[in-house]
Amino acid sequence: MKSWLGVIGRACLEFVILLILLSFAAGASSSVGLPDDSLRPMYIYAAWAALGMTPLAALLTIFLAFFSFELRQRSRVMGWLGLFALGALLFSVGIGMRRAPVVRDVIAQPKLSFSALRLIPPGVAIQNERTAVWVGGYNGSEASDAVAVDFGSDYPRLAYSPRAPLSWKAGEVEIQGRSYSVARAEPPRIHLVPESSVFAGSWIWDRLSSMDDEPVYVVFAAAGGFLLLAIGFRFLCRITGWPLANVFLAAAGMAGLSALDAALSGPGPLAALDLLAKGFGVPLSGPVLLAAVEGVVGLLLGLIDIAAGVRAGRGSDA
Amino acid sequence: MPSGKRTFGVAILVAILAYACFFVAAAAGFSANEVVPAFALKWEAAKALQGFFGVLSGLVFLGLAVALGSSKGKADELIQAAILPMVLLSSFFAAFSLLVGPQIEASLAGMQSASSAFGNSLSSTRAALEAGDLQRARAEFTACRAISPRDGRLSEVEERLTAAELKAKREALPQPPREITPPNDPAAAKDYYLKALAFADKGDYFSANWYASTAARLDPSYTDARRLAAKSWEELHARGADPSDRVRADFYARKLEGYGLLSSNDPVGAYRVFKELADEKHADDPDVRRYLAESLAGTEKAAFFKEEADEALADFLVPDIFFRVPVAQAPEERRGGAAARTEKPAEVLRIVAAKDAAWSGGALYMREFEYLEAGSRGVRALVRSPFAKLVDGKIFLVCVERDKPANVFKPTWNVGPVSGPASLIEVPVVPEAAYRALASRVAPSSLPALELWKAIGDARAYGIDSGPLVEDLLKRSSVPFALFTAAALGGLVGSRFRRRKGDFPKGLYALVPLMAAALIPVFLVVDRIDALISAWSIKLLPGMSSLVVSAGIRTLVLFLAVLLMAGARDLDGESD
Repeated sequence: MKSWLGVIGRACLEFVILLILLSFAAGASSSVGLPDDSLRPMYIYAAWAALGMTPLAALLTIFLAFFSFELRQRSRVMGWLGLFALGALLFSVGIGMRRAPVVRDVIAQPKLSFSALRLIPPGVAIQNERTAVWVGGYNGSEASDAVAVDFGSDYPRLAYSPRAPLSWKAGEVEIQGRSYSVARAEPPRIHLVPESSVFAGSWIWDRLSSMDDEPVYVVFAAAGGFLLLAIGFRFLCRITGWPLANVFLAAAGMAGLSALDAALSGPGPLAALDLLAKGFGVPLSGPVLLAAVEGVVGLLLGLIDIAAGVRAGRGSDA
Repeated sequence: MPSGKRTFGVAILVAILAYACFFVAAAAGFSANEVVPAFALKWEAAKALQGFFGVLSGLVFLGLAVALGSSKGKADELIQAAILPMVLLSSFFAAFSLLVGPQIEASLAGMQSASSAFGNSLSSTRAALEAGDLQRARAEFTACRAISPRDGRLSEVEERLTAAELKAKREALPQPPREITPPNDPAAAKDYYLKALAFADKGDYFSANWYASTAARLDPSYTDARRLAAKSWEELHARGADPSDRVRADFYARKLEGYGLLSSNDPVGAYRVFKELADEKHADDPDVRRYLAESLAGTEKAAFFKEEADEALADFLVPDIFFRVPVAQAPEERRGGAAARTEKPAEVLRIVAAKDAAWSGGALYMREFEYLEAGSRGVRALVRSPFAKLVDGKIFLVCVERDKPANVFKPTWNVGPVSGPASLIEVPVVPEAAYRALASRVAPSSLPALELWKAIGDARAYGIDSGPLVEDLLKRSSVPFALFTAAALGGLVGSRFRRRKGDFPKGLYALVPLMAAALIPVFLVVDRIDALISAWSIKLLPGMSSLVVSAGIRTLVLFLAVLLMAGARDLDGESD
């Protein structure tokens, strides 16, 4: 019991470290394109990201705890229970933090201000697609010595105006009767994980973040289903006789189940689940049904793993 | 095998296997529509190396994790024995990647550019053949053959082109000689007439006839000239001239024409005349030999040959050329005295634009060239030329075909020139620096680190955004940090999750490809974190100072990784 509690305690510490790292990474990622060059926006975004990153931090903590339980807890039942308790605790903390009025009063969602238009600096040519534009300077509603070359057009291409009319609002200059953009392109956003738009649905941490207005049982159902599915994949940490290979395969399994969950949370699968529920007369909505399916699959995988352990009469080989 | 050597061997083996996989993928993905088949092997090898360098830190991590994860012994002993191989491997791969990486990028860009030029020229050859423009078809075909002479697609086109040329030759009707209407210039006619008289007095009736005929052409009302031309011709015949005298007179006249052009500072025209004479079996004539060489030397000083431009432009092309000519301080400005000129150089804007450019033999060749010079009073010069060559602070605007000197590509001046001849522009540009700045804008990763460093310094002067160049330099500077961190973490993970019971079954190595595949998502996330570090470094301290910030952050990450590795002993002790 002591080691069981020890693993959970250590996992909680890992959760805090992971949450801090993830929040800062997410904050840095969200605020890197902002015009404000100080570190303050990063802290604000990191604080906001901390509320949304708890499911991801919990998932990574559970992944690490797989191996800690394998090493320190021979009983698979106790291991499974430990993981469930840990997951339930971490997900509950995350959901509670997000919904607590005290926290919401302190941490407000930062307002995005990426729309601030920035013009290209004078003296530096900027090429947007195949058009190069150079300006000597900006004087009120004019750009001095504006030169543009549209390489996609027929030769000759060079256009010049000593005083080109400038529209600050549109970020355009007019050179020889044609408008050219002098707006500086926004730096590409750096997403730490692929955008969920790769799938029709969304990542579990984004999904839970978007459920602030839903009844709390729906949020707990979604988190619980995912948690059961995740700990159902615990068998991956002993799937081969080489602990190192198991680490890699378990990591891939975690990434895979997150992707699977995101794919299943899309409107298509949810609509199909709704139809099925109506067909069988089950009074549950799509997201709850999805959580139920995930939970059942996770429980089954967990049971098989425990049964296999009992049959083999051994715990970990690591 | 001793643990250190084994670690080194396993990690190298993983790297070799990864390269082989990349090579197979490159071979499978090869498309003759994108890259000329003649480059296939070189392309696949380079593409495989590019992929290999892209995941090098992941491979070092995997290699060391596998090496230590399949070893026997205590964690601290294993790590101690692996420190030297880790450092050696990381150093070797970092140096290899930084030195060879840019060459690979340049090679790939060159092959891609040449393949694209080949494809365009092949399409143009076919289009020109369809349109019946055999001269253009031949020119485009020659460009294709210069890139890949043995390409299978050329034989079919060549067959069609040769057949079409033969047919055109057979069907060609003798053209009447062109009547060139000379300008009416009585003053020049008089000069020519006086020269004709002088030659007639000396008894040189060939020269007298040519000068008198030229004078009559320049001023048709000049009866004395016509009379002298007729008289000198009669004299030639009276001295027993046979019909070949007419040919000789014509030859002589053309020699004089060429000489006249050379004397009037038109070496390109003179070269055309003497080249034609040399091609018409007069190559042995001492005058033709001498003046051909002189006019050639003169042409090389005033213009350049299209063949050299074609050869350069068939290689690695930098597209979409646009740069500002750096502002050079005038001597009086440097001394701080009053400027003698009405406009200081700093006030003059000089812009160069071209469709594309290529570097060869110390010169920058440009196609579809445009040059703008503007001052406080508006546009001072605006010139366009199909081809241009930048060398030694001069942009040559006249281009001649060496074998067909009649084909001359000349500039069109809309405004100007401000001073000097119309065939060239003098600009304070070092061609090498200009090319470096331009190439760095298009493909910064193809420049060696030192060149990239110089390019960043030059970028502002050429009006080029140095941001992408700094980003590339930051990416390169991250390579050693990433490799050392990956090695430390790989060693840590390998020793922590090694197999502790019994001997290591060799069959488990079959899992390594699966492990590599499983590592991909983690690698991608780490790669993005690395990009985030670079982006924040630039945001906090723009320009070259961002190198210091990023080095600081990465050193911190490396330090944490080493710290974790150092703590592996305790962890192991706890778990054993």
